[in-house]
Amino acid sequence: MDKLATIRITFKFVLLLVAMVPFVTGCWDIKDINHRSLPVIMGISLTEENQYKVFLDIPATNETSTVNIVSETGDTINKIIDHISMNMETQVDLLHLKIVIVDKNFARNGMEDIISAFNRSRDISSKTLFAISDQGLDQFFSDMAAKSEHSGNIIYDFFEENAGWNPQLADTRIWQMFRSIHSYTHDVIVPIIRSGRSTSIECMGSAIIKNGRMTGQIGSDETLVANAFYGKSAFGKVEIMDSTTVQIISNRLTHHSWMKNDKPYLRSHLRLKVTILDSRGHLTEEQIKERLEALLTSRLDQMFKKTQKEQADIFALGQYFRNHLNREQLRDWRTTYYPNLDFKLHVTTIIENRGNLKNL
Amino acid sequence: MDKSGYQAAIVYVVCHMGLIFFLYPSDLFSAMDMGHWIGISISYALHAIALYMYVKGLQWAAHRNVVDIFGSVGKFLPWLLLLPALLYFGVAIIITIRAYSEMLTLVFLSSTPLWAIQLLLISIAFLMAWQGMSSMARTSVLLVILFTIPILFVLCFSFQNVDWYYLLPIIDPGQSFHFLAKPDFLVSLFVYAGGFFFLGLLPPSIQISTKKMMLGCLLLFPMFLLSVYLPLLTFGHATAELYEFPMLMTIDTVNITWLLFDRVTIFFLLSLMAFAFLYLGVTLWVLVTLAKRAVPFIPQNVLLIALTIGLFAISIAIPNWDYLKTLQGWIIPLRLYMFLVIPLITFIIGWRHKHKANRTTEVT
Repeated sequence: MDKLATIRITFKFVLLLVAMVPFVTGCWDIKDINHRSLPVIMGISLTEENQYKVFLDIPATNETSTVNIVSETGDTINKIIDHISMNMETQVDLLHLKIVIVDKNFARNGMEDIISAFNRSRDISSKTLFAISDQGLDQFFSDMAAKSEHSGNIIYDFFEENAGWNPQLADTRIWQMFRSIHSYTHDVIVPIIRSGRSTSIECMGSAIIKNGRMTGQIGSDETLVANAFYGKSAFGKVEIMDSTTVQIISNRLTHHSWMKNDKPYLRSHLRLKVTILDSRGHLTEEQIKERLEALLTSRLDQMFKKTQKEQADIFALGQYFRNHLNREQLRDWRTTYYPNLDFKLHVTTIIENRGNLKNL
Repeated sequence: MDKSGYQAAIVYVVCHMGLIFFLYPSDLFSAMDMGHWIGISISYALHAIALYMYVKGLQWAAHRNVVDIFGSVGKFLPWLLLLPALLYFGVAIIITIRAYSEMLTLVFLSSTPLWAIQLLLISIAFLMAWQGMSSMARTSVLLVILFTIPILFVLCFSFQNVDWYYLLPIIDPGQSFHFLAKPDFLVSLFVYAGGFFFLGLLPPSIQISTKKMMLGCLLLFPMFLLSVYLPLLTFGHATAELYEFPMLMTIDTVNITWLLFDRVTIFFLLSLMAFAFLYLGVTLWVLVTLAKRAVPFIPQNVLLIALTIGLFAISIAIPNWDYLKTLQGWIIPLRLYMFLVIPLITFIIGWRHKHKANRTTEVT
């Protein structure tokens, strides 16, 4: 090829590349960071006219205040967000939303629609945490605004695994809620919070959510046991008989399941490794072990009886019967099989160490 | 170390990687309720056999391309045999462009119009095809170096939310093979068919080694399994089948607190998009090379430009996602033809060629 032709081809290519520059920038989606507001928390409640009321907690970027709380009512979440966006000087962008708080009344009515909507529109990350507010959201958010002098993201830190999260708190995300609605065997628990007296937030335990509806409530001690069941209880502290506190270091769970005469049987074995933190009244190691095992077993039993009555399988026990039941039968797991389930939990604890002191 | 044959194998692996993780899991979920690994294994085994026969056939026919090989049997046979291929690759490009642009708007370019993304996709494919196969082969090596680590990183972390009990039952007692005839299953074969056809058109400078091709093929097997089983183990079948792109949803659930970036989906998606670009480029190049043989009097560059504009126009004209699904259904016979018949014919002709050659050497 002669030189001139080479130059011509190169020239054509450069022209082509220049023509493509506008597409490379993705200019349709460009939006300056100071033209966006990035809410961290969204609150949703139902008004008396059966409309949604949405609260957005937007960390402020100016000097005078730390947090901005805006609210609006309407028929669909997206319409409300749009409306808020319209009335604000910036565009609301839900990309970094961390927590969705719904009020108890709404949770009891069923949240299936909004969870499906969250999963459909990809603005909201499916990792967003879910929580239920024990008090009215108006009250909750005004308390939050009053208390957030120092930082705008208290609630976020409260649930953050690296900051404020404890194994006594349930940790449920939007995708898990969505899964629980459609799955035959999984139900979830969601933390219940309210604004606290001395601390900003107080945890009231967890709500049992079945098919997107709140059906019952368990305490925070019971949540710890549930978390132990999910394998998330490490560093949880358990107090036994007002005298001793132990800390869970690790937990391991094994299951043995079988069917007999159409009745499901499940034997589970929970092995805990604990360390002793506090000891009043000088119990022996044997006594501590015995009492801890008895305590956990009875707590779990109680919780199990309760969920069995409500037909909400929060421990996902149906999972262990996937080998014994076919898909059609699993579909009826919650109604036909779960209420008849014969479930026994055996707890073994190993006291890993006694801290710095040799004996109790 | 013998380095010949690596480039062809890498192009083959990269092309398939760009396809596997997007449409495949959702198609397979709608085709099967249980025992997904059976479906994957059957189609993968067919794929491996087809690939082996195709490569062997090509080698026996001693480094000539498919068009020549088919031409050695008769005058009209290549026309008859390769016209479906031409049609199939045209539709494959349209489907890929359309589906991928739709996915990009769903995931992160929510306000960019579809035509702009389609234009971007096809113009990059056009540039690649313009440069020819050897440049694309080099590009694929670069892509592998750049994007393997992010992809592996994301894949490792997506095991975070796995519940292994969803694996059960491994074999359903009532397992039947009805799914093999289901349209959804046949549509899912999209990822297996046609991705290796380019091997038959490679210029002599790029060699094919059977061993390396089969190694590349082996490497893809865990990827097929992961693309289906990661969503399945995270969500369970009942939920996973509701998603349009189950794999992307699975990666969206990954929570890495120490990572600077909130969503790792973008890394995964963009890495695989780069691979998909290569697939588009290779397919467009195959299309042009075939068309050039069909109408030799038109210069190749003119053909390429005409094809690009034509394909772009058709992909814009597709009104919606459902229509795309119907289109996928229509080309099932073509797909099966590309998947199974072409390798088989190549194998038979190559075998005959080899025997003839043997006999000639015996006589002389």
